[in-house]
Amino acid sequence: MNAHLAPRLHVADLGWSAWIAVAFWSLHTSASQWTPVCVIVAAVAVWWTRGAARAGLGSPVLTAASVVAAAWVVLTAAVGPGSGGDVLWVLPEWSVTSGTPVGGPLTTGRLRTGLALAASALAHLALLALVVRCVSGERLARLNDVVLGRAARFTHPLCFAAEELARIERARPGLVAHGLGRLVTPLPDVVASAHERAVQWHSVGLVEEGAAKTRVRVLLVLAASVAALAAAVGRVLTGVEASLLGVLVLTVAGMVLSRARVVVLQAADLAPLVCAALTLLLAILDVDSTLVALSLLALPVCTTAVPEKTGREVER
Amino acid sequence: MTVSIDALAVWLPGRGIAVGPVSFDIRGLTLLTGRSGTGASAVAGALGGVLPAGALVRGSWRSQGVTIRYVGVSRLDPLLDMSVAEALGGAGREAEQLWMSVTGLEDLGASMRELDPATCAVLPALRGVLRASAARDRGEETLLVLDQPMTDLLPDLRVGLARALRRCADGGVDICWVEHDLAVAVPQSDHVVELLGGGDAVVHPAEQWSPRTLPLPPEAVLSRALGSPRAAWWDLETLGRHPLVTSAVPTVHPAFGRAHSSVTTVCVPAERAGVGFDLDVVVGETLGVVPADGDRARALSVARRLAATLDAEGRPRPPLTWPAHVPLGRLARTWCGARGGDAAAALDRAALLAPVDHARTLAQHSPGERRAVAWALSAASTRTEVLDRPEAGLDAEGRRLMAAALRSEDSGTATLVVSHDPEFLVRACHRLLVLPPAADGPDARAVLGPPVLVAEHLPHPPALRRAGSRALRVRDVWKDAR
Repeated sequence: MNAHLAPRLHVADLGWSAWIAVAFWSLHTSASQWTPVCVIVAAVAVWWTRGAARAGLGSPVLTAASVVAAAWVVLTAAVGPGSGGDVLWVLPEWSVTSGTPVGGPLTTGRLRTGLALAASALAHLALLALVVRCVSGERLARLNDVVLGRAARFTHPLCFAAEELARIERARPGLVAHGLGRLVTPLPDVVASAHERAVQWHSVGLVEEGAAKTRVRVLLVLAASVAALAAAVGRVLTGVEASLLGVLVLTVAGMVLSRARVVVLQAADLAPLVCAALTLLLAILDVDSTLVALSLLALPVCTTAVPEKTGREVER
Repeated sequence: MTVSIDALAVWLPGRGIAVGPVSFDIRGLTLLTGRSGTGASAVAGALGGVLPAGALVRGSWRSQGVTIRYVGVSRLDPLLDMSVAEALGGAGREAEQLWMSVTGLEDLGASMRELDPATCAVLPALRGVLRASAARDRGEETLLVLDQPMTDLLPDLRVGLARALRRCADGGVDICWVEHDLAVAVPQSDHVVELLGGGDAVVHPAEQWSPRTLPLPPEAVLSRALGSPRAAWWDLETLGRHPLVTSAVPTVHPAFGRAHSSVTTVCVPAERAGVGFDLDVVVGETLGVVPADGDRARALSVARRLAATLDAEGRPRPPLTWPAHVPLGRLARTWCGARGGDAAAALDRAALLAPVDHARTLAQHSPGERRAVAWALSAASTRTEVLDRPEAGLDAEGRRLMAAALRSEDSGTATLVVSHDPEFLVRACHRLLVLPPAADGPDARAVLGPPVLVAEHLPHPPALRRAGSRALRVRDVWKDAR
């Protein structure tokens, strides 16, 4: 008879998730305008030092970032909040009887607000890009298995989507060289390939839990959702804090239910978790918000100092 | 336990009737085979419940109280980021013994990404064996359904897996095994179900089976021709004791360049070829590149460098991953637009080997059908193409036809074949280039020559060589007998 194999979570993956959660929380709660800048800088620096196996994501991420930044600047310049400052340009104005007027004078205040919102949007995109760059599709899927149990099968294609996009982008030069460049259709290919990978993951399905545990998970999700909603409505916590706490509770409960083992392969794997804890501690101690933002830069310093391990990753 | 399949028919969207209605029993280790397109995989998919959405299944099989475990063809690229133990679903003694017995490796903690993809390809089937055995130990009636688990495996692993399946069946698990490698599968099977198409199937005990639509493997053909009893058809030792086999002399064909008066030879410098000597490649020949240590990536790299030199290109073309989600008709038109050739004719050629449909994508075809398409498109190309395991997944007749075409057709370009299948290589290639193991160091020289001279250097020699004959092909022995 085979020994039961408990799912193994790598502490590095938990650390990346924690750091991204803390950065996300900082973006929504910090008053410092440096927070989005620090998040973007950290993401760019980490991008260069981690996730070589998922090379190819740069081009799609840059495209998405350009679209997001342009959209935010244009939207806020046209209808955005913020006023004051000097008038830079007077746009044609149009307004309906009720609602925000579109166009009108473009002031430095409105432009500054637009840039700040664009930076914030880019920072969110950077966090998303960072998680798919630093955590492989399988590890994301395993994390999903642990947290969501049987319901994870619905999210598995999402876990593999970025990795498949990177693979398709890497294959593009080959197709072009063979005269098949016109046949590259990233979106349908990503959807189909991510689904195939999810099916492949199911074929070695690590989650086989009984109905009782599934019922416990459903109850937990309901309880966490209700609690988070109540806390947010009652203004005990902000919506972001309540959501993050809910996810944290579900993650810990999932780890207990699936008896997951947390694996530390090397000391450097602890860096994201330690950096997340540092930023969280500073925020809780209510130190200066700029200092909290700057603490986010500790992570790229660590990842630059310790090169990525490309050899044997899994041990007995 | 017997699982009785009664008038099973499958209709697949975009394909029509894939199989049936067929009826047969699954007892012990039952091999399901037939020409590509006769629906063996559709039967396996129906039993395993993995047919695509919209598929219609008629007929019945007794499945109440029977746990069905299905193992299908899985992707090799990219490999899952998990350990062998995780892929096997356990790290116990049984898993360790099974892994050791099939692969010769001991470490269950190794990551799949550190192993050769051809080794990792055996993991889904082994997982299926372990799970089915565990279910049997719990007293559950279990049917293990395997759909072409050997497609991507090296010859030695194929033998190891077949033996593991035999042991599993001996332990009380019923197995339905869809397979095209008859030389490995038939000797281990209890029964053979050959699908003939159009709803016809013939069922025989393995020791009495003779194929209706497929060519027998060479050892079985020769044993039959020499009058051996059916039970000894697959036994190389018995075959090797026959005086005609031991005394047979292989037919040496003239070298490709000498047989054709107007041939062009391109010299690939040693440093470019990376094989330790200047390599003359004859335009029009089929050259097999075989890694002695099974390192397919290295063989592909050498083949791509040779192709680039032959086409006078500065550097090798990047490896091609065929777009899997484009309709075949469009793929063929685009390919032929860039490389020359007639798209419709190319797909018609592919259809000789396996059923292909212009409107469906490569992903909607079986692995064998995809290989047939890749081969046909490469054959239409006016440039030197590298074929990566072109025979994998094809049925025996498809492999025979492809080998004959590669060997005999006049072509304006050379064709480079990277493969591990010795029978295919010696039949398809004019010459073989056997690369030394990487462990021998950079100064080790490759071996180049016609199959007759080089076959003994192959990592897994052809069946007749393993039987002790100098001949490679049945007709070499048979001509002496006559």
